[in-house]
Amino acid sequence: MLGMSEASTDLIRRMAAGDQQAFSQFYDRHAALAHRLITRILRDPDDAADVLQEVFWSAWKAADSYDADRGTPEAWIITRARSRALDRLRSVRRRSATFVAPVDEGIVATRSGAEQGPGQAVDRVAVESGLERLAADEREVLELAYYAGLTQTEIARQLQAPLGTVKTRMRRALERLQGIMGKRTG
Amino acid sequence: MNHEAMDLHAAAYALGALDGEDLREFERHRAAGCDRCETFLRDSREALVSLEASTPLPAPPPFVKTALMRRVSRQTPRRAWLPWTMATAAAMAVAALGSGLYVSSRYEARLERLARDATASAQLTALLREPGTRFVTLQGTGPASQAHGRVVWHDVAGGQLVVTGLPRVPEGKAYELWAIRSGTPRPAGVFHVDDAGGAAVGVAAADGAVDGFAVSVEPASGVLAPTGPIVLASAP
Repeated sequence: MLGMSEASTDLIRRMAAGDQQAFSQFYDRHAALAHRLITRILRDPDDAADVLQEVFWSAWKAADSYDADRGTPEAWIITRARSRALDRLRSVRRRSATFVAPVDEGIVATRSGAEQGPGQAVDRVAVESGLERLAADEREVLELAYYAGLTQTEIARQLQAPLGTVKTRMRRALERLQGIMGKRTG
Repeated sequence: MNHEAMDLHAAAYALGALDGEDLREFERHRAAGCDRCETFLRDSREALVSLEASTPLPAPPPFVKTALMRRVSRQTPRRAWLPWTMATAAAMAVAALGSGLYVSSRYEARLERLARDATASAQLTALLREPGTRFVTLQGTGPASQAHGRVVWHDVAGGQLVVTGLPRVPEGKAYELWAIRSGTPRPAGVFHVDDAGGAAVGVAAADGAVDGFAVSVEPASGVLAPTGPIVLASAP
């Protein structure tokens, strides 16, 4: 993993100098990862493709601002992808004026495993990954925050749970996830 | 300081869910420096990346890359200008040396500055062609009241900061630009000024709409939240 990160860091450095070939290689390495996350957040293939393009275009333009001390290239692109996807999600929600419903339906369908139509295909994959190792209440807060972009206050309101409980679950979810993922990659 | 509360804040922050006074409290805590929290944030980011990568990833639609490479190739001549202008400046300096003329280091510095200015103005020109580009004026504050700044800004493309009239900072310090989003300053790059107190630097996009900018004096390595005096700020 370390070698791959270093190679990607070198690609970003070359991108900052205007190297198109480096950008092409950087895209090939990281686009699928970013696309998975964007699709999980937006659930619409056209919106996801659009945001994917925006994310890599902004990465190309901001390559000279990458700071290896602040995280790996993978984390850099994933952070940008999540942020752009959530911006899009919020603007879609504002337009459709259905702030809570799509999130609720999506997460509940995943949790119960019921009625998994084509729209839930991405979630089914995630169920087979690290998320299924979390307790249901931990996974719920993680998904509402990370994939649905809700703040702790919004999550507490939606779950009708005390804020402290939501925060404790988030901490437990991340600690457990770090343990699971650390074992997998290390 | 009750660190248990910070542990909980750190988790919500890592998931992008921290808000309100908790967010301000945690940002102050981070600015003061906390290895425990920084390690947790970094490990959480990496775990969340690994989560996405832990199962086979279907390829994104090919048209996205085609469109991107077309955009990049249209834009590249502008970026390729940087090595070209620097090379030209260096070649001129070498030619002058070769002809037996004495070239002072000041002359070379001026050539370099010229090359930098040319690059900055090329980037500015490209930015000005983008719809949605706006100008944000920064006014000097306190002892730097003579200073002026301007950010040519585009929420998606980023922008260019140009400042004049800023004094040099002491050894180990630098100026740091802050992009203000929803009342929260986010780091947007560290820079130094030249002998005349000026600088022109590129600013990366801030992953969202920016309300304003400010500049403060900070440790040269940069910090995550402002700690030093504000020397330039945009009108609220």
